[in-house]
Amino acid sequence: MTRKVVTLIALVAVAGLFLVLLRLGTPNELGTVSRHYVERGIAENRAANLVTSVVVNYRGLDTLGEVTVLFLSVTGAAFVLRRRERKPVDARASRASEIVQTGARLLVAPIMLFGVYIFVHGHLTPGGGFQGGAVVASGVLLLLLADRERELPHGLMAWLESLSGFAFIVAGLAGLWVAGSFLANRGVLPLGEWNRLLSAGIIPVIYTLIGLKVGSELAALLDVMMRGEAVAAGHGAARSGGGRRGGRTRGGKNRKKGGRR
Amino acid sequence: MNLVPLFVAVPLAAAFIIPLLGIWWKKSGEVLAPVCTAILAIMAIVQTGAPASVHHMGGWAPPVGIAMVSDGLSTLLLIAINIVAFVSIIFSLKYMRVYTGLTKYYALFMLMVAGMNGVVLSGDLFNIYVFLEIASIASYALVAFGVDAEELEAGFKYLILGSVASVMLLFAIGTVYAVTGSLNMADVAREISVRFGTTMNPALLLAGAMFLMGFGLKAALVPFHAWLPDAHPSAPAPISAMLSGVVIKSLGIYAICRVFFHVFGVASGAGGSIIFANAMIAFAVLSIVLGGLLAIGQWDYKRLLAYSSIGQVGYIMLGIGVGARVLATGGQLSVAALAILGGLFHLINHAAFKSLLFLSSGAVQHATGTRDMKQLGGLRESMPITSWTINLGTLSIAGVPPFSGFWSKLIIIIATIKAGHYAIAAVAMAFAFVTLAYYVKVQREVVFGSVTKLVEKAREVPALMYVPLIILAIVCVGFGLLYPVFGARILEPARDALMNGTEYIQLVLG
Repeated sequence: MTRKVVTLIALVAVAGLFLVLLRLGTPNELGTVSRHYVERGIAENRAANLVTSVVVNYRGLDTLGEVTVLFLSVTGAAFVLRRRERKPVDARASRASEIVQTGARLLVAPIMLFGVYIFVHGHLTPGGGFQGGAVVASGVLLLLLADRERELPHGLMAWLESLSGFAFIVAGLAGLWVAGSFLANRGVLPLGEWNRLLSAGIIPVIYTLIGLKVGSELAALLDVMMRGEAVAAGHGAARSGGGRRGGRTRGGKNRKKGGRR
Repeated sequence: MNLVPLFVAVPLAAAFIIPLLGIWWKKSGEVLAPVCTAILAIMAIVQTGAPASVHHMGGWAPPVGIAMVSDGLSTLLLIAINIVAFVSIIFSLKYMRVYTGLTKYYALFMLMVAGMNGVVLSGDLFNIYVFLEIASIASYALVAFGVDAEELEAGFKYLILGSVASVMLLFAIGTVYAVTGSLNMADVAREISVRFGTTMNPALLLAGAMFLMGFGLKAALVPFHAWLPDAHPSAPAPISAMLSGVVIKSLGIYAICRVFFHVFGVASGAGGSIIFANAMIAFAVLSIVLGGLLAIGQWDYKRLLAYSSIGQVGYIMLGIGVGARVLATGGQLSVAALAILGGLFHLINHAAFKSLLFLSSGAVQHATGTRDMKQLGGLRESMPITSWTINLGTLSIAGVPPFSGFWSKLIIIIATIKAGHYAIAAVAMAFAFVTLAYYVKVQREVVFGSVTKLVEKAREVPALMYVPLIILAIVCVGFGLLYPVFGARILEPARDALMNGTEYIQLVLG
């Protein structure tokens, strides 16, 4: 009862705050920063998709951070879920019918191709690395749904995940080296002509890296969650999981050593 | 070429490459992480005395792009973060051997360092949020690293409360953006001072409250402290040292300082600044009182240290809060300068002695297998080096002259009296004695006293574990005796940077 009353009071308070904020209103015209993006974005970055220009270049450091957050969540999830016991898998129940399996196999290639298309054209058309990566991962999800025992190429995923993140930073450092500022666009690669596939300098390179990274990470996350144990990509070395060697007797080993002395 | 972005790029690159190399080379983390943190620590020390600088990310001048700002305040935090990180990594090399999944451990550790370096260097509100998330999520995973029930519970609690804080911060940043149309802190500050002056905008007041709650939770100020007494003891000792030593300060205290002094213009008496300053002082006093009282009754060594962290963070916040209040009410500049100096001095002192104490608790646990103080005692014979460092650490934090904790608490209390808050000064002084009381208990139960069964068989930890303890102990003693050497070099620039909001705006926007 008290809990309900408290919840109600909290809800009313939040609603009140919201109304106050609504009455204050937000300006309708663009601020100085947004106006800069709209008016000069294409001239400065030659990317037809302005959003990409902002995400990858003007605020590229945020994107590097967000990619890292995803990397972290996958590592963290793989970490916590590795404790769960592996359920005995009933081969018949876990496998979908022949039709679904064949259909999935046929669909995976076009889905992945579409995902790649989205992130490769991130600087031209709506979408980009995150969206394309999610589409690629949805292809993997389809494969896993059709056949739960399917082994994903963990080695390849680990490579993609780590190397694309590393290459993002190398691209940033190239900017620091060539143009004197981290993640600089101009001077590293030619900007090219507006609205061409090879344009916008370093932006499509970075978005492709992000697409590969997001795709492999989300796929790894799906894999971990479907299996309920740590076979996460990128952590092949630690596949047996973390935790303590020899259970809780941390001091035990040392005490034995002390005894020998 | 400005090397400030490397503080973020180097640990991030290490974090991405360690798991990959770990597939073939099991020791990738144990080799790369110490090398990287050593480079970062040297870079941080070189950074002292360098003039304040701004690095435009991608070459875009703020407010269009993201700027990394390195001034006195961020340099102070960089030194604390990277030196404690280096020392903790060295300690980890032997200590963490009993765990598996070490490549993940070192990768997560480097991500945590990258996140904190990013927070203290970023000049952009949303960018601070992104790096804060990196550091926080890495620390959630690291708290649960042991994956036993207790650790998982602590990690989960920390995750939930930390996420609540993150939502509040995101909401606050969104509100500020809606009002000012910019995310660059200097630009937002200019916009606020030009448009609102000393009047109070309700939306900004709400945003300020959200910032204070969100960062207050990251700093574990009472009443937002519930996660800390579980999270800090459950983590492996080097992680406890990082969490108590630098994470709560860079994600919590530093962020509060930066946002309220440089964005909301508390120092120049902007609208609502007295409310904010009062709230800071109130949270500080609550933390000092509750942290101190709860620490006395603890018998778990690391849990006692964790409660003590709450109390000590209260002292830091008290210094900053009193300084903010004096500035907001137009009081004497010298009093405010003294209070802020005391707060920042206690911040860096606490980084040194609390990480020392947590690492030594790890050494004790490593050697005896327990952290229950009832089962400990008489370590001075079997573990002389660890005992000495524990003694130095406890004397410093308890505020025994001439050790470092004494001076910083003395400065804070004198400044509080000069500002006219006699009752608060009395509370702060009384709880300095409470701190002394529970650290005397630590000494009596762990270092001195009769030798227990567990301690009999213990022996001194290997050199890779006691050398970090000795380094930190020397730092603690140095902070107590050598103020003339480091004060003008790292503390006074930090204080001046914090107090001059207009200078910050000019530095960033030119």
